[in-house]
Amino acid sequence: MRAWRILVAAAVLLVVPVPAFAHAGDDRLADHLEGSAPDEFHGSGVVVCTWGTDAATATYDVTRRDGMTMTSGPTGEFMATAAQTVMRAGDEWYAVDFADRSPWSLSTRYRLGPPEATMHMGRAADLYVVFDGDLPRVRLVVDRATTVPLVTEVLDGEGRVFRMAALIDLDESDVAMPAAPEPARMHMVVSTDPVASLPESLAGYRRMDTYMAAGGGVQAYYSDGLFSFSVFEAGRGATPEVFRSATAFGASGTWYRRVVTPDRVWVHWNAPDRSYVLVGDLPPDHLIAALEDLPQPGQRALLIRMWRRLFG
Amino acid sequence: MTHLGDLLSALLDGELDSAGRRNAAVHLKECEPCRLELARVESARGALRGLPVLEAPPGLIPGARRRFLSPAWISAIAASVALVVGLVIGPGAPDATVQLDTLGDQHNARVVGDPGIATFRGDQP
Repeated sequence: MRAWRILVAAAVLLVVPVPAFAHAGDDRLADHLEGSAPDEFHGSGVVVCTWGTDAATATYDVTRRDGMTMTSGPTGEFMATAAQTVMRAGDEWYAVDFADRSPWSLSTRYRLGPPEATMHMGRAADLYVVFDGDLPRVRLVVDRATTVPLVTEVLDGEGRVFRMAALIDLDESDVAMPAAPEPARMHMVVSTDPVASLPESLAGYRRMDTYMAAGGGVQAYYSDGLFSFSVFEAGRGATPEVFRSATAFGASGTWYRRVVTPDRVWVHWNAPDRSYVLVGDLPPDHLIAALEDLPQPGQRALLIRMWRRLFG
Repeated sequence: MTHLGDLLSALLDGELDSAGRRNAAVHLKECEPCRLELARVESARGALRGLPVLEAPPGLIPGARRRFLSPAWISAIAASVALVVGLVIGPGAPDATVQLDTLGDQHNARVVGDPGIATFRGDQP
C-alpha cells in the first residue's frame, strides 16, 4: 500500500463536488478548456516530449461516454467523472478526493488566436494558436465536426516544440462503454496542509492548494489555468536513483537535474535542510522561471554534516 | 544517454587512451550538459592552478619537525584527518528517498479535476 494512503481515511465516502470553474482570461480559450469535446468518442494517440537531448514518447487511449472519461496513458489508468477520479494502482482501483480544491482560473497572459482552416487525418479542422503574451505557446488542430483536438503542440520560449500530442485514430460513433473498473475498495481524501511555506505565486502560476504528501511532506499545487505543476517539499533525503545520471541544466546560476517523461518533467534538488521534487507539464522556460523563486540547491553546513554523520 | 561524469577529469588529466579520448570527443560534440560540465571542471582546475605558492615562515618547519614528527604524532594526525574527511564527505547513513511514483499519483489526481493542457488530449471529465 502506498505511503500517502496513510493520509486519507479508508472507506470514507466523502464526495467533494468539483467547484464551478471561474476564469479571468480569454473567454474563447476558457471555453475550449472547459469542455469542447463531444460527449462520446474514442481516440488513440501518441505523445512526445523533447527537451534538449532528452526525449520520451508514449501512446495513450481516451474513451468518453455517459459522462465518464477513461484514460490509459503514460501516467497510468484513471477514470474521471465530474465528481470523482478513480485511479489504478497495480490491480487495485481507488477513488481519490482532495479535502479542498480552489476553483480553476485561466491566467490573463493567454490569448487564443483566430482559427485557420486546415486538414488533418483527412478531416476538416481548424488550426488555433494560443499566445503567451506575444509568444506562440500552444498550437492546436481541432476537428471541425467533433471539436476534438487532433494535435496539440506546446512550444518552449524559443518557439521549438516541447511536447506534441496527436491522435492517430478517432471514432465518434459506436463508442464502446469503457471497461468499468471494479468498485473502488479504497476512497481516499487527501488532507489540506494549512501551513504553506512555498511561494503563493511562481512565474505567473498561482498556488492553488497545499496538501499533505507522502512521508510527512507537503504538496503545493500550482496552476495558470493552462499548465500546472506540484512542488513536493520534505525533509532532506537522498537523491532518487533516476536523477543521479539525469541531464543537468542551469537555472538562476545553479544546477538541477531533470527527468523528461512523455507528459511530465520532473526536477529534484536538495536544499540545505529540505528536498524538493517539482513535477508538471509546464514548458522549460516557465519551469526555469519557477525554479528561480523556489529555495535553491545547497549543501548542509560542515558542522551539521559532521553532526549527522555521528548522530544521524 | 550516459554522461561522461568522472571521465571528464580523466580526459583533462590525459589519462584516457586514444579510444577513450575519441569516444569522449564524439559524446561532447552531441552533449551540451557534458560540455558545460567540462567547462566547469576546467575552470575549477584553472582556479586551483592560479593559487599563489606561499613561503613558509623561517623556522616553522624545523620547529614543527622537532615537536611533531614522531611516529605516534604522525599516526594521530593521519587518523584525525581520515576521521574528518570521512565525516565530511563520507556517505554516512543513507537518507530516506522520496517515492516518485507516489508523488506522481498525487499530482495526477489533483490535475485531473481541472481543465488544462490535458484537455486538449481529451482526457478530462
